[in-house]
Amino acid sequence: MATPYGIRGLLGFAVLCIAATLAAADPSFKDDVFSILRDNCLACHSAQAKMGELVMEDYDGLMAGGNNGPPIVPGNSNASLLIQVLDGRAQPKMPLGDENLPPQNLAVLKAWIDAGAKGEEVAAGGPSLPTIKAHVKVAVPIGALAFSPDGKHIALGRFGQVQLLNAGSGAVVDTLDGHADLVRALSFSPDGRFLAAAGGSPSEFGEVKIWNIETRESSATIRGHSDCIYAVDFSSDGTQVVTGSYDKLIELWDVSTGERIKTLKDHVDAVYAVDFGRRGTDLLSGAADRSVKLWRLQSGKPSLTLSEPLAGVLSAAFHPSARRIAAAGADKTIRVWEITNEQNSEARLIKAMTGHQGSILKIVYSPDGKTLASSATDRTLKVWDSTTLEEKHVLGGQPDWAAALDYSPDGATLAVGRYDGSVTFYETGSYQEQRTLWRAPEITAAAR
Amino acid sequence: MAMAMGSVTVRRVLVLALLALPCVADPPQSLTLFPGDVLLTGPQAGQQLVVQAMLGSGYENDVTSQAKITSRDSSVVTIDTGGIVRPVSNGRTKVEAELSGVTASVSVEVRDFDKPFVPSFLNDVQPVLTKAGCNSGACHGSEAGKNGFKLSLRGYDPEFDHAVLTRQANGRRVARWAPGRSLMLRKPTLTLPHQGGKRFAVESPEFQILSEWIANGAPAPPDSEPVIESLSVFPEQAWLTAGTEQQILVQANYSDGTSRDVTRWVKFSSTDSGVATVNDLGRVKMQGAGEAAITVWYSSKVVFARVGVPFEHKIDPRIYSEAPKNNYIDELVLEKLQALHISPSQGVTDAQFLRRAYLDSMGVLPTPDEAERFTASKAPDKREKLIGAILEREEFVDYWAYKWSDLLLVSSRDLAPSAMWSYYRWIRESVERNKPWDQFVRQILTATGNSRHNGALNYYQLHRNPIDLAENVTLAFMGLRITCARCHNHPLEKWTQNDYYQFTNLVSRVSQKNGAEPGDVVVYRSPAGEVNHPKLGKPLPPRPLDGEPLALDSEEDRRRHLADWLTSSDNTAFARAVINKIWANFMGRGVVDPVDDMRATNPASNEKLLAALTEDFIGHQFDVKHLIRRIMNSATYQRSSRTNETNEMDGKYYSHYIVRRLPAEVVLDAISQVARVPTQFSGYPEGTRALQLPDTQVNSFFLEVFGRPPRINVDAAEREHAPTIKQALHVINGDTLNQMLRADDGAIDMFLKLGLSDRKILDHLYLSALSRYPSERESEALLAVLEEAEQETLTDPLERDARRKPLEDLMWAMLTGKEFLFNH
Repeated sequence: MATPYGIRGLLGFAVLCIAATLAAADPSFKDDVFSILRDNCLACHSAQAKMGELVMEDYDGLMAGGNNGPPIVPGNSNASLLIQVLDGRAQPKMPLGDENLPPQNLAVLKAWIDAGAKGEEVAAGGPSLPTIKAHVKVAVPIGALAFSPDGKHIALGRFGQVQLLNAGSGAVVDTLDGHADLVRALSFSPDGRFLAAAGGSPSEFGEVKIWNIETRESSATIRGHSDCIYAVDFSSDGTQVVTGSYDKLIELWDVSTGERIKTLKDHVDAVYAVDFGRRGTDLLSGAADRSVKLWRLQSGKPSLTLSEPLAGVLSAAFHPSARRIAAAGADKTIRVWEITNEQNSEARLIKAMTGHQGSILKIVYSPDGKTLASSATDRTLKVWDSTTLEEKHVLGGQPDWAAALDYSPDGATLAVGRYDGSVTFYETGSYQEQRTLWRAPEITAAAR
Repeated sequence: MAMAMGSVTVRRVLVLALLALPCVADPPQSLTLFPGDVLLTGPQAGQQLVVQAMLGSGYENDVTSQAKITSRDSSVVTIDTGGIVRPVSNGRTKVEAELSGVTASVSVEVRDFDKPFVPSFLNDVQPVLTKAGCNSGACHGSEAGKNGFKLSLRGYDPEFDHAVLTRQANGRRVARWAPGRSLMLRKPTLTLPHQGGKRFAVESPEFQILSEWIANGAPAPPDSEPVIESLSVFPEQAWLTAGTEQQILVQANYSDGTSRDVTRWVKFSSTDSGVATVNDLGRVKMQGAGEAAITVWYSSKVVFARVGVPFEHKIDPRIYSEAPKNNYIDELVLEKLQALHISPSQGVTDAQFLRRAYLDSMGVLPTPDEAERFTASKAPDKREKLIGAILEREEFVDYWAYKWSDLLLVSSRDLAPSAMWSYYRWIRESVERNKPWDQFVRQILTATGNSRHNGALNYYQLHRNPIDLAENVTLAFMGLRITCARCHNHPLEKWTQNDYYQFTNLVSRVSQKNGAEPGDVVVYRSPAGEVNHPKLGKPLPPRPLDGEPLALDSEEDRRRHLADWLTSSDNTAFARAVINKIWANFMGRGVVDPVDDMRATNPASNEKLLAALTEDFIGHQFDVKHLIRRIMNSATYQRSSRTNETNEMDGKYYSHYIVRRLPAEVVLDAISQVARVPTQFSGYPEGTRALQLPDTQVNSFFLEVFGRPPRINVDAAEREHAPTIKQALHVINGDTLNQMLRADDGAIDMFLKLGLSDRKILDHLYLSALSRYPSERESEALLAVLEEAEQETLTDPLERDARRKPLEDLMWAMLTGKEFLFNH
């Protein structure tokens, strides 16, 4: 009885040994090593989580190492910190938790290091999903919307592209293609020559393309952040753009070179709003960490943190005077502060108003600064006196969430872009609907 | 010897054979196909079948993997390996199972095969997120969410979750315009790094449901969406053999009349992993002897399956048939014991019964006189008569008034002394008149007026707002904790946040103002007042947990509606809660344990018994004395605490009396009684016993050490039962006992004054403390020790009475002994 099992057991063991030997013979970073790192390490050592400042998403990041220096000594697995934390010789033991890295995986890593730890390019993110075909026609949402300074054009952020519309007729005059994902933020340069269109891939990277409006060509593509960008703004002199991302960071970029100038790091949750004031020295930001911050551009440190909001800030903007700030978000409340010194280090809350029955997605000042428009998840738009926060108009019955909102430069039109892909223009005399593009029915499931 | 060896060997061989080939050794008598007839709706539908064999030995066995399962018409359905029925086209046919020549069949119907499968957010997507743990309390279901992404805890708020997934953060999680870019698919498959790790594979049904839902435009649930109404579980109950496995099937039944297999999406857990373990897919493995419930949670619905393995003992069936059966309690307890192969203990002696009956029902010891008379009596119905007499005693009223005062939190901690007294007196008077339990509670819930005249009103002094009232009513009178549902649907029970706020609105119109005298309040019904549902921002129609709602504008008294529902004979939860408390008082453990935890996922150790007690209690108009009489008269209550080898591990099936330490007040009173020295409680007249105190604020170190409850929360655990070192030290060295032993006019003083012989004193002490005479051996040994000690003390010139010190020592030894401090 015992013999056949014994033999089978031995055979099984032999097969395992052979498999381990085979795998270990000539491991490559791309084919063998990366998948082990991805499945066991990247949860914490991604560009986003960045624990111990170690990012193992690609070869360079792995070799560069984090707070404890390079984890790999090419040619010597025994001396490599990576192997030491994996086999328990060094603390903290990795992977965190009770489970050890399977021995066959450890063998692969050792063999790769001992063979010199050579690297190759690896597409970030690992395996892709199978193609999933949409069964129904769905509209692409309006991720962002902006009027050009001359009022002639409207740019719409779409999936993979920007649509440029004739503001008067509503006709699409061009599409600016090549974006990685949904375009979630737009900003025209003050002279109207350039458009910064920002987005990127959620949980992967942020992306900004600078478009020349005249040539309809992209003059620069900026890649940064470790998550997509939710807010972008041109500086008043048109030389820089600022971006705010889900990765909690704010970054400043040189428009002409596409180089990063500075990273502003003080928010502890996703940054949903950035705004350069008119003076060139003012910058504000609003984030899901329930705060609005004003920044000193020289030092890259905040000059003031406003922490009255009770939930995440989803939208924030300077008043045209740059001496007032409005912010709103998940606590359904619009707040207005007045900045009381030149250094932007003091401000007082002058008004707070529960404006909606749901999270407020976007607020925008009219060009003359007299009114403020807000959109919210309760599917209403409201127009307020920007000083008293007196409710002037309620545009109820919005067909879907509107994350995109902008006034035309002459203040005569308010444009709204929604999740369902529709865009509506309101004239600002009595806020009557002028025109709606791409009106879409809400999609619901057929009864089961 | 050789015989014994032989039989052991034979048995071992048999066991091996059983393990290897269960169906050959124990052929099926019949087969059952779970879940019965099947309706498959839509092309994605599937139904796991379980072939259950009823074996000759009386056990059941899941033989799905051995049986041959065939579809009669494979153009309608086919059978996957593992026994899953899959649709092929619309139509009807039969599916058959066969094993060892025994067969069973069910009919199967396929509908809507030609309709495309569009996963429903409510009935497909949310169950996936819940089962994969996405919305669990440790992940995105936590209060703060994870990485900016927060879902409702276990999916209780589908509307919120749908918005978060599809729209929040500018549609970052679901890209219905490019489904493959959805983080909702890329993160849990680890296509992108995910701190929560890999939740499912690309090839899994989880992925298929989520991706199909997104590919169909990630639709929100329409108003017409069928909602889940109930769960069915198969098998509901099965006796299995150790080491075997059993697949549990769960079907969800919807408001449109359809049902489907949701086994894969259920959260399973076992109430006793020593008996049965269950994996994520509902596969149960029997680990050892005993009974366990496999609880099944799906979409805020809870049911359970009971599985059991009898112990290995061989017990002569005559033990059960010949065991005394005084009433239905005995029948049902013996039925359970027989199923589990546990043999009941012998009956208790008269002396032990007497002591036990007094302590359990009145908290006092029988006097030596009572003990002597009862043991001497030859009347065949003397126990029954004794029980009848106990129920009429003043001490019985004291004991139960004290017990219900624990439940109703009578205490001068939050009540003025006058209010505390009026509350207590109302309770005591209710016990004295044996007020039916439904009336007792109804009077509390519907009371109005001045608390000085109606003590029951003090309940509203203790529970002043609707939230507190609602939570107290459910806990005190039904043993249900609904607090979780205040903020979100109860994660483990069926109570939803809507249930909670509907219930709370039943007590939203109670107002009170100060009465004329300090400490009094006037409670009155206010014409208006609502509790808003915090999410909806409006009040919901007041509705008892499982009852009918009142219209918001109804003029009817909401508290009366609550009381009508609570005390109605249809709401068995009300009766069960108090029955369980009374049962536990006598039997040492509730049929449901812990005694005040009556939630659906905490099943009774003997459900039939609890159901029968409930029927009896309700049938006798909630008569508490009737129930106590029934319990005390049962042979089950009158069993010895001495175990046999088959029942020594039994702590919950009532095969023997469960030994326990006497409650704090009872110990103190008993010491007092034997020592014949009353305890002094400050502010109370001399002779007041601990059990007669209306208030737990009365200072007593002894009572505190022995676990007197503070009466702050309704919680059976407030009373400490565990013996502690502190208790031992206090009894041995502390003032309470030692002062009583030395007291003038105490028992020893009396013995000496009467000039009783050592033997007489010994008999008297034994009778008064233990309700029995000392045994020959005890007498001999103790008398010898006493005599020796007396000789020694004689030589001490300072001792005024040579006999006193040894007698004090004797009594000390008896009152610190286990036989005295425990009920047995």
